[in-house]
Amino acid sequence: MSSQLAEFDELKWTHSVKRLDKPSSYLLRKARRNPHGLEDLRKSLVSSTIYVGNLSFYTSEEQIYELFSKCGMIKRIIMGLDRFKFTPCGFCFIIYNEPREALNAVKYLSDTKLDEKNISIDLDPGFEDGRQFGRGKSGGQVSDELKFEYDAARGGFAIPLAQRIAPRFGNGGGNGNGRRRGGRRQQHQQHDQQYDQQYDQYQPEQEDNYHSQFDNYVPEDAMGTFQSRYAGAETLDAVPAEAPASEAAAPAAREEEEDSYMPE
Amino acid sequence: MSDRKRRRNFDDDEDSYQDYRPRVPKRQRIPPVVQLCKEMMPDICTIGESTKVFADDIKFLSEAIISEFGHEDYFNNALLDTFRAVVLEQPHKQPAIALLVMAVNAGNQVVGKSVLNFFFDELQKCCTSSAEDSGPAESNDTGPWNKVKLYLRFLSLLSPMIINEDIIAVYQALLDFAVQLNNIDDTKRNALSEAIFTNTILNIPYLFYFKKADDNALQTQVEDLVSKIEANYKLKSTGIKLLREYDASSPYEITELIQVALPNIKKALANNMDQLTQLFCDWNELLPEQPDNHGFNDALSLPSIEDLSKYSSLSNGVGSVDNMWKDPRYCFHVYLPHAAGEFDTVLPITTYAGQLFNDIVIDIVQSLEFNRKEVSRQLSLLPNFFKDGIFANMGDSIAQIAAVYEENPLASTFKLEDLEIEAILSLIFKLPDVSQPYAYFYTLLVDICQSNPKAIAPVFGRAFRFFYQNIDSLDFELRQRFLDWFSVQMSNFNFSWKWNEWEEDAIKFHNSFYNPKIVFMKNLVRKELRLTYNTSEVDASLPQEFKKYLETNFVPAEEVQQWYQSFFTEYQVRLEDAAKNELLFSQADIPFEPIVRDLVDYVHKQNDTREISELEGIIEKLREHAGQITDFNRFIVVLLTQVVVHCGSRSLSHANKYITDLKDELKTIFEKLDMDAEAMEQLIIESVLAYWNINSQTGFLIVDALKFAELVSPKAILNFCLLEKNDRCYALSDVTVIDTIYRTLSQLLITNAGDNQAFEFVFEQMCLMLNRATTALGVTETENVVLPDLSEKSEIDPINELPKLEHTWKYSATLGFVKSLLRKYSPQYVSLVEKFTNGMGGVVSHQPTQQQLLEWIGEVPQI
Repeated sequence: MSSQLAEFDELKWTHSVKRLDKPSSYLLRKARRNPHGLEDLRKSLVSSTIYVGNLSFYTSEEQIYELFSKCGMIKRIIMGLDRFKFTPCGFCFIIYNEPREALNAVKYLSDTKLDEKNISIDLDPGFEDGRQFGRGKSGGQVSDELKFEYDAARGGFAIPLAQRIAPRFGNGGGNGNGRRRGGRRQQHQQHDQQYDQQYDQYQPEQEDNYHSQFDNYVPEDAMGTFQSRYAGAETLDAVPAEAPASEAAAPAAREEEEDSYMPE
Repeated sequence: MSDRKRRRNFDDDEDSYQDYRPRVPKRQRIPPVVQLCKEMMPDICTIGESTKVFADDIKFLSEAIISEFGHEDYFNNALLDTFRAVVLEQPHKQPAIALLVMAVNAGNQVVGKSVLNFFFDELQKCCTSSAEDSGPAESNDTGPWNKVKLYLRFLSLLSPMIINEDIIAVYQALLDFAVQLNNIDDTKRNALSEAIFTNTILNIPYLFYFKKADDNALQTQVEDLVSKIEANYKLKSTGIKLLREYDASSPYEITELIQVALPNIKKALANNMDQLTQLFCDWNELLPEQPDNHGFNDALSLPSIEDLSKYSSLSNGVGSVDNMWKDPRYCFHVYLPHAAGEFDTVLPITTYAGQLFNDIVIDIVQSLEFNRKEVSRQLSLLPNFFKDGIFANMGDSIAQIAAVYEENPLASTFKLEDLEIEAILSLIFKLPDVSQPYAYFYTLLVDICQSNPKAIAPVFGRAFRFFYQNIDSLDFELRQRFLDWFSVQMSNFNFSWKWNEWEEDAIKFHNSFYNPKIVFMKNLVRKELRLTYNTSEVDASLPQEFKKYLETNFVPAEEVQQWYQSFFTEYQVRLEDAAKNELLFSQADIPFEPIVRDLVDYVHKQNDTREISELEGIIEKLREHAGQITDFNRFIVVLLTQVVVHCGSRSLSHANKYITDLKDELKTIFEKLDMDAEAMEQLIIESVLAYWNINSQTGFLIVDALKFAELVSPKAILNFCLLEKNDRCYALSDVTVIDTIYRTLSQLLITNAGDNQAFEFVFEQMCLMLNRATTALGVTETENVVLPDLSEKSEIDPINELPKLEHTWKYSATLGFVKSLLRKYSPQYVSLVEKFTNGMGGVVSHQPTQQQLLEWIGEVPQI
């Protein structure tokens, strides 16, 4: 049953471009399913609280503070934890002193990088105890259990390799013999090596392009398109070519991930 | 359609299937007028972005508006709201919207008149509301007078459909008003007057956008207007030194925007408006002939001077762009003319085009602050709305431009990227404060860079180098902003920077503590480390010479060792233990280690299971070991503080939790100790920073938590920050300390409004620091302290003369810090001006220092 969301459904012509500090489509969809949805949405605009997703598991509270304090005075940071292991699982809530500061964070910091991850930020009606835990089966976020691609900063592969490739290559599968299962840090290192090789290979071209100029400051992201996270995985013989390259899969994954931050 | 039919037939065959079909909610049917608006308004908002379809857009949109306008209120309102949104938020599109309106007017004058009335009414509303108290403006609101500017610009564009006298009358009214405001006080600058004057005359050339020079009558009226205002408006020059971006020698000449405004307009209107022909698009072919001209229904009514007096200072809350006029608007430069050859890369602010582009970029950045991605996109589209050939090709390097320029000196050397980045940097580096949170500008620049890294990254590189080169004289506070921006930029781009360029400086002054460049590099590396968990990435980005900055100790480990040692009579503290981020008192070979463990267990207990008697018991047990401790009371303070900090060392939240849980118990125990309160607070802070010596930022944030728990006072924190030990004052060189001072003072504004003791204390401490520096320098009371010339041709030997150089840098950093404090907290210092002025002679004896301080103090009321 979809319900009406009053002012949130209204078409407005007061701005020539859309505002970034509006509830995300995920929040709106959730609000439609929820009898108190409209109330929650209204609360989220004045709550001083934001939800931050797609964090690296390694990102610390202090790093979050360093970045988010540029938008206002932070009252409290609540790290999202794996509900079994009590380790960070890639999201957090930040409570600011004023609602305005929370809206600022949504406007200004969404989609910026923290520890190489493009963080996602959403409005939030306010933190309640219990919401700091992941809701996935394994204790982390649901999205990490559904994701198909390798992500070193968020626990590597969720599904064991053998299971991932089994249906495609028909090699038994299903009995968990994945060569790259577990050992997150080890995978991380391998992953890094892949990156390094790419940089090495790519370096000369960078030099050619920019070295002759006075102003040859070029951030490595200038080559961003070449460092696809998937390229490394591909050479690791793990992932079939067409599966990971889909940028379109990203939004879907994000939605799932956000899905995990409300307690049942 | 046929597909659906077939499926239905199929469904009919299997009756039961129908029931199990998922229930898809019916698609909402929206009224046709809403559907029309949904399709048409986005087209209006993006008008002109594609030059290919521009003519078609004007044709089809105008036809649709002519046929729809006036039938349904929903459409009328949506259309007018959209026009207004584009006019205010995307001023570069104003000519395109004006063209559309005039195309509509040619087809139906009633619609044209309605649009005209709407905008005149909006203009009137802004004028009226400027004298009303409407509370603080929204962050995207640029302020009533900036909107007046934008509405007037739009009406000027519509000049072919307006009676000349009517539009000129609006100009006349506004300029007369500016003169009146300016004449209220001959000696004092009037912020609003300057804003109206500059804004209004900036719009004059737009009267000729669609008329060019063919309307002689209008031209004569404009000439009259300009000569009248030139005669009547007295420019007041204000050289407020507190607002200077550079302390000693500015790399460029300081000019005020108001001084260049009128000469710019005059030059633009001269020579048959040549400059305008080269600047504005020629869309006259698309402009249908206008029927009879409209007039405005009423004359513009401006508020009375008395009603406005409360608002004419354009103080905070009035709107972002209006507020920029609160203090004199000095022109800011990064890409200096001729810096890279015999040409400019930014349109000079002393030309009409330069001033206009600067104005438009700032308006877009400020009014679209709610969507930084769109700001970045619109800025890149800017050339589509101006004549071709104003800018060089996007992304051309300086070398390429120089080559083209050599071949053809008439080719454009202006880089749109330079102009935009310079305008945004001017907002980041705006003194005394910024109009939006720093985060907005930083991430906007990151977005702009991400949208076209090849073109933009080198532009940033040149800005980094410019600030770095001039860091010795750059304002103290701006150095921190530069550092902040640089680190955010780096963290978004894998920390890659050509550090090698700075290697020579790093080697030359490697032993220095106060050298501004060393201070900058050291803090930059540390800031980067705080922004990532992947320290190896930062490590990998650094050449050998810079690796030493990866070591993040706040004070040298030896000092921490000595500090711990001072509590023991016999036990020898090892350097490696003192250097660790761990509880030193729980070392296995410390005789009372088991008692310390009990203490840790006690702190770990749940709130409802702790009894203070148990804690007192543990302390009593410890007293048995008092012989091994030099001063038991001091030791208890240190131990308890460190145990709590240790238990909360996992994260800031943990630290906060333990401090909040145990604050009452700590207070009870501490009150019973026979110790001076100030000394105790000092010791508490020292304990935290000794524990967190490897990460002083976390240390200071924990000290903040202790402050909120009322275990330490703001004054104690400030005192700790301003301490000088072993000739080292970290308040001048460590960003975490500088931030703590700003943070503590800023929080006092909220919690202790009206109490200026802390501000007075900081100022006094700074004066004492200046005294010590001048004494150490050995200058006579009248001798100036001159910053050393360290350029390549300088003959100063950085190794032998380092001690003297250090004192000079320290002196100038202290002075810079004072300047920044007086400016940043001017409302608090205003009430202290008299006290400081009278008492200065008794505190600071060095004459040039005294004069400098008195000059700044004298300027405080003007900010």
